[in-house]
Amino acid sequence: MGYRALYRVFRPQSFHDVVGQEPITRTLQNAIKEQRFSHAYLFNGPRGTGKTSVAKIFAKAVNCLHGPAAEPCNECSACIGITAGSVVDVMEIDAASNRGVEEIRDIRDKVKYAPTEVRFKVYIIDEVHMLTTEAFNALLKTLEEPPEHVIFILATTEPHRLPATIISRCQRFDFRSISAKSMIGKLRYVADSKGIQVSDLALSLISRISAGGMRDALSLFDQVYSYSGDQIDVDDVVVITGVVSQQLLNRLAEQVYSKDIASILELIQQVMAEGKNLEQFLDDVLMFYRDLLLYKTAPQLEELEHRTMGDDVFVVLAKRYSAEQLYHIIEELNKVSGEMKWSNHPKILLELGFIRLVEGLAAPSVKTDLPEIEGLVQRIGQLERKISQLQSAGVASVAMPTATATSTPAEAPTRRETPKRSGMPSTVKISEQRIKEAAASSSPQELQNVLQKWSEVLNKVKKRKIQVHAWLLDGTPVAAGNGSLVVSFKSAIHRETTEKPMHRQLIEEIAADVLGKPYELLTLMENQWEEIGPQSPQTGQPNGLEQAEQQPQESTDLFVDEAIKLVGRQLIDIKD
Amino acid sequence: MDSRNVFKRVQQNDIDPLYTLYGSETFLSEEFIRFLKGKVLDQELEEFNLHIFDLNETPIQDVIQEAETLPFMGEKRLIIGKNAMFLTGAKQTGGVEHHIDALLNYIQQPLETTVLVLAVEVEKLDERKKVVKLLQKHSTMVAFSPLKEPELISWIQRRAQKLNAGIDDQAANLLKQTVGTDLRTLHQELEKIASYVGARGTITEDVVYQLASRTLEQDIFSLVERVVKLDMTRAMRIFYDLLKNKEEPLTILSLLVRQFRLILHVKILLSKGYTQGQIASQLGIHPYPVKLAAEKVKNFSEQGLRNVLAYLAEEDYRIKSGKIDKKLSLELFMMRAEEILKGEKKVL
Repeated sequence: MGYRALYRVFRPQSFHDVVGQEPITRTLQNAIKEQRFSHAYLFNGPRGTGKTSVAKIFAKAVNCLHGPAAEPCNECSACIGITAGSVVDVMEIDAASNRGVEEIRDIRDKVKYAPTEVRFKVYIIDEVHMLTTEAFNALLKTLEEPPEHVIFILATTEPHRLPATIISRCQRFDFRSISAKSMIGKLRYVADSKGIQVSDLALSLISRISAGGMRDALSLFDQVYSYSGDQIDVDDVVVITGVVSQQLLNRLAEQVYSKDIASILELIQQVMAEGKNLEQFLDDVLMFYRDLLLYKTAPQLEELEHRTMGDDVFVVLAKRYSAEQLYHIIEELNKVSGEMKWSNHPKILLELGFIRLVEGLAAPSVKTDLPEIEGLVQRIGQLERKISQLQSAGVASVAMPTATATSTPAEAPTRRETPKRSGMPSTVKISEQRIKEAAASSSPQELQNVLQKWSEVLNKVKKRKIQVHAWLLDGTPVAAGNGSLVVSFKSAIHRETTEKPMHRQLIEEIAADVLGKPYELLTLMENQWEEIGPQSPQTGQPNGLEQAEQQPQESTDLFVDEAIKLVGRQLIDIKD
Repeated sequence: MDSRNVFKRVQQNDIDPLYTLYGSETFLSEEFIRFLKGKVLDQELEEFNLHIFDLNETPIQDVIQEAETLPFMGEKRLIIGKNAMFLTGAKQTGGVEHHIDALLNYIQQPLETTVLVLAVEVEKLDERKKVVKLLQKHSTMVAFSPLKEPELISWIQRRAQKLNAGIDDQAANLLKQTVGTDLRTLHQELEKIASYVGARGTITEDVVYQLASRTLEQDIFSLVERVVKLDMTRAMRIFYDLLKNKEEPLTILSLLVRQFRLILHVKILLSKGYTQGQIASQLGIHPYPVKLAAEKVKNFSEQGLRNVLAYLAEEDYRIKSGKIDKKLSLELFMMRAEEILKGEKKVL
C-alpha cells in the first residue's frame, strides 16, 4: 500500500482517541453501557470535528463481538470488518450523491430484514442535508417506526436544512470545533509518533489556520511535513500557506502603536516582496486587530486560544491599545479593504490607509509610564516652547509648517498630560493679523454663498487632484470677505498639506472659478478660530456669522448638517 | 378525556374498543399507542394482530374490514388509523375515497375483540360532522394538547426520573428554555443528558448548558440576554456557534433587531401604564415574548435601546452596501454593545 494521508492514518478508532468531544463520547459510551441507545442519532457540527469517525466507532462499539462495550475492541472480526467497510450491515451512505427518494425507499425496504453478520444494522447517512424533500419524507416514515435492530446515524454540517420533523426524531449531538489546546495536543501526538520535530509556534499557527477542523489541521500538517521533512518550524508553515505569521503581525501592531510610519511602510514592502496577496494580508491584519479587541471584551473565548498560546506579546498589545483606538483602527482598515477591491494600486491604498490610521490614532488616555509616552511628552514640551517663542516674537508672516518632527530634542518639561484644547496646542503659526482682518470684514451673506458652493469647490478639486480633495475635506469655511477666505481645520496635518503652495494655488484657482471672484486662501486650526473668531467685531450682524460657526459644532445630527451645507443655515428652521 | 387519566385506565386494564386521539402533541399520542399496544397484545403475536394504517393512503373501509376480522391466536387485535383527516374541517386531499358509512356502522357495533384507534394531529375536530358526534358518544376521546408551563416542568422531572436521573428546577427550566416546548425534542434531549450523567446521576444547569442542542430562536434570545448582562464571553460563544452552524449573519442581525425593538416597545407601553396583556394585543404578538421582554426592560434605558436600533439599522445598511463584512459588523456590535447601551447620545 502506498502513502496514506495523515488524517486517514490517525483517524480515531476508539472513543478514547476522539479529540475535543468529551461530552459526546461520554454520553454515547454511557448509553452503550446501559443498553439505552436511541434508534436515530443526528451528529451535526463543522467539518473535521469527528462526526463520521464517531459514527463508525459507535457502529463498532454496539456490534463488537466482545461487547457491546464502552469501547470497541478493534480486534474481533466485526470491528475489523466495519473498519474495512466489508460488513454489509453497517452501511455508510453519502446523501450528497444519493439524494433521491429512490435511494431512501431502498433503505426503507431493506430495513426490515434482520442483520446478517452483526447485532445491529447501522446506517450512517453522511451530508444528510442534501436529501430532497421527498427523500426526507421517505426517511421520516422509517424514523417514525424503526425496527428494533436498526440504528440510524445522520451526519451533517448544516442542521438547519433538515426538516424539524426529522430533527425531533433523532437524538441530536452538537459537535464543537476542536479547541486550539486539544488540537495542538493531538498534532503533537502525531508528530511524536512519526518522529517529527516541530515547534510550538508552528503548531499553533496550523491550528489557527484550520479553525477548529482536525482534518484540515492534519492535512496541512501533512503538507508541511512533505515540504520540510522532519524539522518543522513556523516559517515552513508560513511558506506553505502564505499566511502572515503572528510575529509579523505583532511587529506591525507595535509599529502602529508607536506611530512608526517608516517601519510600517518597510514592512508592507517586505510582505509584497514575499509575493503575498495584499488583500489577504490586510484581512489578516484586520482579524488580528479584531482579536485584540475581542481579547479586551472577552478574554476567555476559545477562539482566541491560538493567539494567546505561546505568545505573550499579544496580551501585552491588547492591554496597551485602548478599545477606542482599536475601533478606530478596525474601521479604518475595513474602509481600506473595501476600497482595495476596486483599485488598480492596492499597495498605495494600503500604505495610505496605514498612514491615515496612524495619524488618526488618538493618544492613549492612561499609562503615562510607557517609554513611548515619555517621548511624546518630551516632544509636546518642545513644541509648546516653540509656540510661546513665536508668539512673543509676534511673527506675522504667511503660514508655514513648523511642526516637523525632526527638531532637536530640548529639555523635557515636567508636564505629563497631553494638553487639551486650551490655548494653542496645535502648533500652527498663522498670520493672525490677516485672519483677524478677514474675520472682521467677513459678511454672513458672502460666507453663506461660499458655504453653499463649498461642496462644488470640493468636487472640482476632487476632479483635478484627488489627494488635495482628501486634505481639504477636513476644512470648513468659517469666514469670507475682503478677498480672503478663511478655512478652519480639525487636524494639523491636513491644514499643513493644504497650505503647500501647489495645493493652495489649485484651490484658489477653483474657488475663484466657482465663487465668481478671487479669494486668498487663509487656513488655521479650529481651536485657533475659536479664539479669534468671536473676538472679531461683528456688531452689525449679530446672528449671522456667530451661529454659522458655533452651531455646527453642537449639532450632532448629520442630516441637519447636510441640509445646512446644501441650502444654508438661514433658510433652515430646526424643530426638535 | 384528560390524557393522564386515560393512561391510568389502560394501566388498570380498563380498555375500550374505540379510541379517538386528537391534538398536536403527537409525542404523547404515540406514547399512548405504544402503551396500549403493550397492554393489548402479546409481543409474539404483534405481527399478526397489529395493523397500522395511514388514512391518507388507505380508505377507511379497508381499515374497518381489518377491524372486523377476528384476532389470530391472541385475544385482541389492535387497529390504528393515523391521519384521520375526515374528522376535521380540513379539505380532503389526495386520491383516497373514504366510505364513512362503514365507519358509522362499525362505531355503533364495535367488535369486542378489536381495539380501533383513530388518530389525527389537530387541536379541534369538526363537531358538526355526524361521524364526530357518534364518536363522541361511543368512543373514548382523548385530547393530547401541548403542555402548559407548570405541567411542562413536572413532565420533565417525571421523565428524568423514568430515565433514572434527577433534575433540579433550575436545570429543568434551562432545558425548557434552550430546547423549547416540543415534547419529542425534550424527550430526546433528556435521554441524551441522562446518558451523560449516568445512572442515578443528577442533571444540573451546567450539564444542560453543555449538552442541550439549541434552536436558532432560543440562541438569539440567549444571545440578547447575554448582551444585556454584558456577559460578552458567552455572547460571543453563542454567536460563533451560530456561525459555525452556517447561520446567516444577516438573519442573526434581524433577529437581534426584533428583540431589541420588542423590548423598546414594551418599555414605552409599560411606562404609559399598559398591562402586559394589553401590550400583547396592541403589538399583535403572543403574550409570552412580551412577558420575557418585560423582564428585561429594567436593564435598559430608553435612549440606550434607541441607540442600539439606530446603530443596527446603520450596520444593516453598511453590510448591504458592501461597506463592511457582515461577520465583522456583528462582532463589532457585540464588542461595543455596552458603550452603545449606556450612551447618552447617539454613538454613530
